[in-house]
Amino acid sequence: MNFMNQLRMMTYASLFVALIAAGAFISIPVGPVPIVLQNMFVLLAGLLLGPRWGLASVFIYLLLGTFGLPVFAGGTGGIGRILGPTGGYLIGYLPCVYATGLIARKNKRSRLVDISAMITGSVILYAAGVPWLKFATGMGWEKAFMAGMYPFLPGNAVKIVAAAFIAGKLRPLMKG
Amino acid sequence: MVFTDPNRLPPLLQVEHVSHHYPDGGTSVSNVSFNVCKGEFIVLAGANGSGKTTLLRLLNGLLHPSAGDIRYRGKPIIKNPEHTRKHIGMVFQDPDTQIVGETVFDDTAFGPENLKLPREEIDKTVHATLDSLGLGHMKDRCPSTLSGGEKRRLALSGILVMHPEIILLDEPFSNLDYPGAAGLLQLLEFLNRDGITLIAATHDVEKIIDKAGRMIIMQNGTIVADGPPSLHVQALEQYGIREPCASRYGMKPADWVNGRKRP
Amino acid sequence: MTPFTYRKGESHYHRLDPRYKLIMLALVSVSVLQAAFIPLLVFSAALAQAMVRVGIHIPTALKHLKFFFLLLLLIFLARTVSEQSGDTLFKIYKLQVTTGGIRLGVLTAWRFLVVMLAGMIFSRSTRPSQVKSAAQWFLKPVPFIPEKRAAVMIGLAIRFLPLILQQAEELSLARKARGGDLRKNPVKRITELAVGLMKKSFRTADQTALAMAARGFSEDRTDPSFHPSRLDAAYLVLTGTTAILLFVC
Ligand SMILES: Nc1ncnc2c1ncn2[C@@H]1O[C@H](COP(=O)(O)OP(=O)(O)O)[C@@H](O)[C@H]1O
Ligand SMILES: [Mg+2]
Repeated sequence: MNFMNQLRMMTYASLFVALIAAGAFISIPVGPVPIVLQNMFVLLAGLLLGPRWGLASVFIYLLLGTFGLPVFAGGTGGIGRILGPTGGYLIGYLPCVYATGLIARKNKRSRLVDISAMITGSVILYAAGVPWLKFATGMGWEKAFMAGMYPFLPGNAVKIVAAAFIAGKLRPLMKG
Repeated sequence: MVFTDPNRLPPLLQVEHVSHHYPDGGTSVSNVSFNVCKGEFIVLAGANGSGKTTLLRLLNGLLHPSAGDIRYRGKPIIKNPEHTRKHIGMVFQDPDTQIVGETVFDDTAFGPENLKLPREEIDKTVHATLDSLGLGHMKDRCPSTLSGGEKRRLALSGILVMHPEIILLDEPFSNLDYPGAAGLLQLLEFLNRDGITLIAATHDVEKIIDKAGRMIIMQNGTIVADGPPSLHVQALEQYGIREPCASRYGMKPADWVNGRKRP
Repeated sequence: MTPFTYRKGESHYHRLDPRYKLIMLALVSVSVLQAAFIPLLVFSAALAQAMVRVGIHIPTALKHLKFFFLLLLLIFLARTVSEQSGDTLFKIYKLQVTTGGIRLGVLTAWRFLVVMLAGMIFSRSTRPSQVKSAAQWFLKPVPFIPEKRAAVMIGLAIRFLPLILQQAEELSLARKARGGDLRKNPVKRITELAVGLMKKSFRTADQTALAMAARGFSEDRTDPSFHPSRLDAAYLVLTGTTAILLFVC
């Protein structure tokens, strides 16, 4: 039933919009800095929905935030967040989810492929976020990396490993 | 051949040797056959897991039979799902999952919007439907703030607005308190008198058996009894369904809403 | 319930056409990010009044934004140390803090705050279903984006969000009750929480898809309708003028 599959994928993609938005609020205390789950849900959207539906869910998420709904980090919203210094991390979700989904889809399914896909996605995310941060605030490269990347790397690694397990557990549920 | 005698009209629904199994599970419905005529009020009784939900979903085309054939007005339903769903509505067991609109009004408008009716017409028919169900004054309410009975009525309104011929109800009384259940039952009776065919699946027949004209009992995916409720009411226990109290003491089942015995 | 959440009200902002409101929000956002000190001060006063009108309690709103203020502080510091003009106030290590730098730091942070508050006024006074309708209208001319599908997805996402937050809370409470928080391995903790959350919400999504199909879902559906009035035109002209003034002054 093609119609039903299409409808189900659309519902899942909408669910991921909500998960990504909720991910900004759900944090797990690990050491001194809590790990926020938002970008993990973006990576999972790529793995579980594939490039196109993954892109659709990130796009809708950004659209909601741009229109002022409180779906960005800290329960805020508005075009100001996109144009602001951390806007690169938000816009960067688009190429991030697409690349993650594409790599995971084009290769044979394995945990290693999933992890490489997510590493690529994360690299793309920082490649969008860090320069944006630098130019929006006028800080130097070194400081931009110090403020916008290094502190998040350990948490990111944890999230990538966790997401690989999560994807393995959830894929069977999505066949419907 | 010309059908002049109304009794010779083809049945509304024809279910012929239908079986179904879930991809990862065993057989959920096996070799089921029956006909449904216009205006019937059928109780589909059976213990949990006997296949009631699956059968209802087969009847409105949400699931496809693995074998057998279901026809609505003589046409196979899987061939024209849109036609089927406009005319055969379904109330899910958990009304929360069925409600898709942000307000009572928006939710009721979902079906007509799918049919691409013009906006003015939608506004008119939605208002009329909500008023007829006593939901008119809460049209701007958020569905999650409604009571259980109101949610069930809202689910019905989303279906009635499409003017269906048949309504399938899955465990309509679960999670309803006494006034909620009594109100719903009265509404169902009213709809049935209005000519709408009803099929209600339940493992708890007591509330509804007095209003229904026919009872189909399922066990392990097959139909084990089909006929007037009074005929089979004593057999219920043997199929794992609780028998209504009254009948257990040798009385006719009570009119559950008014607490009177029927003459 | 946050200051960003829609609440019923009778203000003008509640009555405006959502498409006009979005255009107004965009005009304000872009022009405010260019505004100079004095015009921004005047505009902020007007904005505060608008916040009161739509029923936002300003102290509560500011308290809700405390996380955002950290970001503003970062913006302020970065601007302050990167701009070197006016008198030097003091020097720490190699960093030179000047009056020009502080001025620019305050201005930049303030602009972002104002844009954020304008967004708050919008989302506080606009029903999510109206946001959905307006989004569909704006996406219509955009190529490659099926606007009707986008609108349906917005509606579904708005419906799922509170459910997920509620489930997340229940799950983390249940986990705490079982002493799960004592486990040290963060990968296991994240996996457990996320799998629990997603399993549950996938089931909800399945049910929703089924219910939509049962109700005859079709992507080719009736378009939303809008009823713009004179009020909308008046507000648009007013906002447009303000935006130009913010831009040039
Ligand atoms: N989605 C499903 N996947 C696999 N098996 C299922 C599914 N839904 C129901 N079943 C199985 O099919 C049978 C009939 O279930 P159901 O139609 O839900 O019965 P009832 O509604 O009478 O409780 C049961 O054995 C049940 O375990
Ligand atoms: Mg059932």
